[in-house]
Amino acid sequence: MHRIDCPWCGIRDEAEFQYQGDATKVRPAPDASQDAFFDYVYKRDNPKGWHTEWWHHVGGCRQWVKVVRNTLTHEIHATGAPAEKLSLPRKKKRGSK
Amino acid sequence: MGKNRLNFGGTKLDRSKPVNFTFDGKTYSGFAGDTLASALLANGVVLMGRSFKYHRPRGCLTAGSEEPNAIVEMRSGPRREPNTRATVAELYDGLDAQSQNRWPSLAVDLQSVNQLLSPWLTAGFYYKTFMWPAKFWEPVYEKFIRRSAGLGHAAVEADPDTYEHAHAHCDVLVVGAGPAGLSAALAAAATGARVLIVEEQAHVGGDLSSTLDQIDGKPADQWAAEAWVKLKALDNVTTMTRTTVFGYYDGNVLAALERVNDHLAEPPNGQPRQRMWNIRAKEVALTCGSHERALTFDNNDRPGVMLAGAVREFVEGYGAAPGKRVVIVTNNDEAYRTAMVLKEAGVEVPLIADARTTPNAAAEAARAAGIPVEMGVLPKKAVGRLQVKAIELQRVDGAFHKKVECDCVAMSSGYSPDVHLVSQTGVAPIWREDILGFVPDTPKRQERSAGAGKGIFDLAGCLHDGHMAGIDAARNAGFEPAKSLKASRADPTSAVPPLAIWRCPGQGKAFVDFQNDVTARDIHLAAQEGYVSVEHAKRYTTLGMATDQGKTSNVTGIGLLATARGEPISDVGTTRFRPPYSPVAIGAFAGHERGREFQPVRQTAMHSCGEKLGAVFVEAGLWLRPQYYPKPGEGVMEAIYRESKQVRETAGICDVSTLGKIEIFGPDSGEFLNRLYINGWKMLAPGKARYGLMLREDGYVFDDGTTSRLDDDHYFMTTTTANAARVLAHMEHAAQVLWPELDVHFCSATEQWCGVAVAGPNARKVLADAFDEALDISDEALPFMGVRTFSWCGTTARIFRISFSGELAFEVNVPWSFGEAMWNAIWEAGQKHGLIAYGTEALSVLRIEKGHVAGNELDGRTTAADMGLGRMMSTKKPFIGQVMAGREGMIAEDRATLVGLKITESEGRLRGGAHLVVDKDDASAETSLGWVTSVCDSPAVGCWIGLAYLQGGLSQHEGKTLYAVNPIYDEAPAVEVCSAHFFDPEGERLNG
Amino acid sequence: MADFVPIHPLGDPEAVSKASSNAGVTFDIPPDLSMVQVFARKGQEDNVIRKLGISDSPRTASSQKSFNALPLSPGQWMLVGNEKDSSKFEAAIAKKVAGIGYVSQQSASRVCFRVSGPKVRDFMSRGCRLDLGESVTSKGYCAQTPIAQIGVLLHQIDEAPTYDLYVYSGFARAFWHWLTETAAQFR
Ligand SMILES: [Zn+2]
Repeated sequence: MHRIDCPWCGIRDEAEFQYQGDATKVRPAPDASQDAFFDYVYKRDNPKGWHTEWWHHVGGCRQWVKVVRNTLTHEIHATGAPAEKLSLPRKKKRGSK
Repeated sequence: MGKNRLNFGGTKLDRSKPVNFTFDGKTYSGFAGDTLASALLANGVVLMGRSFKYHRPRGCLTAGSEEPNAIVEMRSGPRREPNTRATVAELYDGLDAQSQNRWPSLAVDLQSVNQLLSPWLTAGFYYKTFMWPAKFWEPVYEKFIRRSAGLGHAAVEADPDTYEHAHAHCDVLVVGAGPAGLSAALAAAATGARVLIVEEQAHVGGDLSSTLDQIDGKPADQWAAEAWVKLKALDNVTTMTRTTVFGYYDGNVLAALERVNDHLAEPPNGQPRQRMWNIRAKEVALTCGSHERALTFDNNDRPGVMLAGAVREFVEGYGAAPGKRVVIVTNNDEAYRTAMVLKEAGVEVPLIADARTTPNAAAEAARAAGIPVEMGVLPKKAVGRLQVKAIELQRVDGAFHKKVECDCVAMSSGYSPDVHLVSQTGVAPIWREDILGFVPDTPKRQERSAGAGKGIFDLAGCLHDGHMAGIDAARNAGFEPAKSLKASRADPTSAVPPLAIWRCPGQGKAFVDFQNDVTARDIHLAAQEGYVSVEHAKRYTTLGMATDQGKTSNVTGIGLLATARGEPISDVGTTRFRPPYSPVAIGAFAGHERGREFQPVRQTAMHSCGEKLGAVFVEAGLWLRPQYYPKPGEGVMEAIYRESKQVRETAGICDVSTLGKIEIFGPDSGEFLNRLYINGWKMLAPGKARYGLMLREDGYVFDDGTTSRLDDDHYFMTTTTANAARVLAHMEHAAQVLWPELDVHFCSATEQWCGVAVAGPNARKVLADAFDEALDISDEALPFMGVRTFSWCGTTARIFRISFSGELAFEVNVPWSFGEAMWNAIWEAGQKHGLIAYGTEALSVLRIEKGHVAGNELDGRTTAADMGLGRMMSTKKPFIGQVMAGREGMIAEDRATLVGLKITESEGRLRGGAHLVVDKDDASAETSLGWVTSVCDSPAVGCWIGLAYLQGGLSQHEGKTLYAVNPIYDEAPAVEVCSAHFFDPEGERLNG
Repeated sequence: MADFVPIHPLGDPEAVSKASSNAGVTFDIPPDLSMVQVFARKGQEDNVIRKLGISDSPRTASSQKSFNALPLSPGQWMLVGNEKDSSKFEAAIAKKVAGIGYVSQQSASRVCFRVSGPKVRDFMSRGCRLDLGESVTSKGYCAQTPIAQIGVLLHQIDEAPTYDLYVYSGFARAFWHWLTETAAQFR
């Protein structure tokens, strides 16, 4: 079970969150092309390794939490509020946080 | 007392408490503290089960949870539980157990003819035998497999016991309370860390109960008992026994099953039978010990042939002699301890046959004690059928040596560290030739193994290693030990390494995996047929796939596979282990969440009002809603028809509390709503409500509802019951992620405000009487789509002039706690105006008659234009879903759009899900023009009507006849396509 | 017209005292609580905190004379007052945060179950995923977490410990059912 460090609530069980997908996608400007929106709505990478994702803390503070997670090892490197810029780890770390 | 009960040993027994039990209908007596297996042995019962495939007679092989053979059915009736290991089932008065896999009786099993078929039941027999012809699968093969392979019978009635989940947190989790585990827990606890130590058995100490060694100058089992008392007394330590850690998951979360009341006939009142723990551990010390292996020789499965450690445990721990004359066959030093214990207990040991030829101290000590030892001697074959009668021995070179009479053989092929849990973390076990076992590689999580679990088999080493692991775990959790902290001590011993013998030469059946009846020959055959990968060989032979997960057999199997491949074991590697470590009842996984408690029930404030009026309730998500209110003798359809008719004639009241309600505040609320809904909101005046439609970002319709402006910067949104949670999450995404710059704030108010709809020509009269002078709801004071707040009974109420039914209608909201009072006030006032209560079904009839869309039409595949609401989409402002709603396929001419349907036959009815075709004799996916979404028997129209999505819509099909084909009911009524606004299309009735 | 009183959340005021007699876990439903959810306007979080005299800690309640402020999420608090008249409470708080925040009336939206007793920590471990260990949480600790699949706003009100568990009113009876069933083993 993932244990996710919500910036507001602290470390909580995965069961309190709803997975909300890729957090690297940025909504295009309202007047952007259909292609730009198509990319935003449908196109997703499926990275093996580090990925930045949304986990919505519906069972707690109801905040959208940004999570840098390794899809291979399930290690969580960092979590933050939506506005925070989270960087991926430079090299592979051993042991999860 | 049983005939094989010793006066010696019995450290786990309470001999002052005799306990009666039955096995296969016969009554026996044992002591409190016995397991079913130890009590049977004490009574001279060696035969305990039949094997899975060949139905060979079997006794217990082990004395613990790794038992493959002695699995029985416990209890009866709804509590019946198959596949219980007799070696862990604690005895209680009245325990009732049955052997499995036999018919008609354990001693005479007619299905053991499978043994005669055994040439065809070798490795891969499922794959080979039952492949062809395919049509034989269900009628022939499956029945055969089920009958002959059945492992017991599940109960057919519901389990009367309860199970629960629980949560634990600790700095240091110690798994296993053997010498290493106790040592680790003592060390970690001394640092002040919060320690949780979990032991699978009812007793702690592991095999300290069956050793003659001393720790800190006292008998080892006494040391263990004292350590446990000490740990229990500490505030920072939690202890659990009868609890198996069975899973090691991400985030250093481990799952454990506590058998709270399995050792009693029935759980005491209020207590669960079992409890599943989720343990969140900062650091883990795995002190899980090791499992002894069987030697692989012909007929090594005969009852009475047991692991040497098990024999020792039965004698010392339970005072039960597995036999009167015990031959020991071994490749290592440990089995000598069994000989010494037997000797001490007064059981005859005619011979220790040691496969090794190197002289060793253990052999010298045995000889000094008067036990004959022969070196370089292997078992060849066990003689006897229902119980071993003798053992034939051979020289290492395969030459016959001699035959020794005995009624028990204690065998040992060395010990395998228990790497199950650590393997679950993704750590691949690595082979150590010096100990003939797999040990854990470098940890990937916050864990470390210690003691026998990592290949340290001597007591002094285990105590020291456990101590160091406890300190390391505590330190990593942030606790520093005092320098003076010392480990408990035992005398060091030196062992001669075991000798690798994976198959003692022979031509007969030599079992590797006892529970799945996998023989040495099966593994050889698998390798010959090309299944040389350990994972393939496992699946092909079913080695290690039984309920015991191959705890006693895996390493031997791998040794045989390596031999067949002619490669070292380190190159063959081991299979990975998966949870659970040992079987877990489904009931324990479900915990509290079963039956009525599967999900929590959500009730409205007016639930009891509905109950009083005899409502039939329907589930809407978690909510219970009144579906209809049948009068005595009235059927479902009649009740719905009456309710929907009556609303249009006089008035009806409907509980609409389940609608999602969201309070929105802030100067940017209007802008926020503009971006959420397809229509505009900035011009909505305070005191007014508006219908709104939301899209998903992909352009499809998401939800609809009415939102009101209560004040300049205060809005009140309603959503459909089904989408309430999703809409809130959608808005949170918008406010927190998309547009954090907007000064807008909102929260759910679904259970702050409960609501009723009062609809019908008399609605105004009813409410005027109900709320008395509190409220002016004249057309001037409260026009259509108007909203007012008023004070009623000392609380705040809100009234909305909105209509889902097309009638003059109002929705009244009061705080949840006033719901019942409001319903009663309206109900009483309404009686003289013909007020009736109506449920969700009549609500649906009324909205279908008006062509209003609901959940059936908002199915996630429809656009606003499909629903006839395309013109609501503003072009003056951006909103979520706007761009994608303009994609080619979303605006295509041939999309199915909303139409009405009227049945044109006097008999029959319409059904949702039916497909619309031109020719009812040519109905197929290709000829379908659309589908029916909602139907009702309409009082207002006078026939069955429906809403449907139809390609070409009204413009191409109005007035035409189509057929609504439903192959499930074999119906195809003729329908006329018409406008979805069946009733009062001009909306005149909204004014009463 | 008759005077109406709000109905008891369980429909039976006796239920609570009955379930609490001679028990390792005791229950109460404190009457006459008023609740409002307070939102700070964008950029006004500090002003609201100052104006209400509450703490900015995300996991600790602040106690004022007339209310406890339970943090919910950034810039949001549930203010719980011992005040029978919820409209009066709402108006008083609204006045304090006028111009810098908003107030949503929530008095009827939740039922508060007060749980205590010698076995309460063991009891809580049966449903609550949070670490409520003696060395971990103390008076004032606040959290939102699901218990028995029902969303709970939890507030530890003393060191006994006693927990106030706020659940949405629609779940009050389901939650009560879970509370009493689970407490049966601690009788
Ligand atoms: Zn949170």
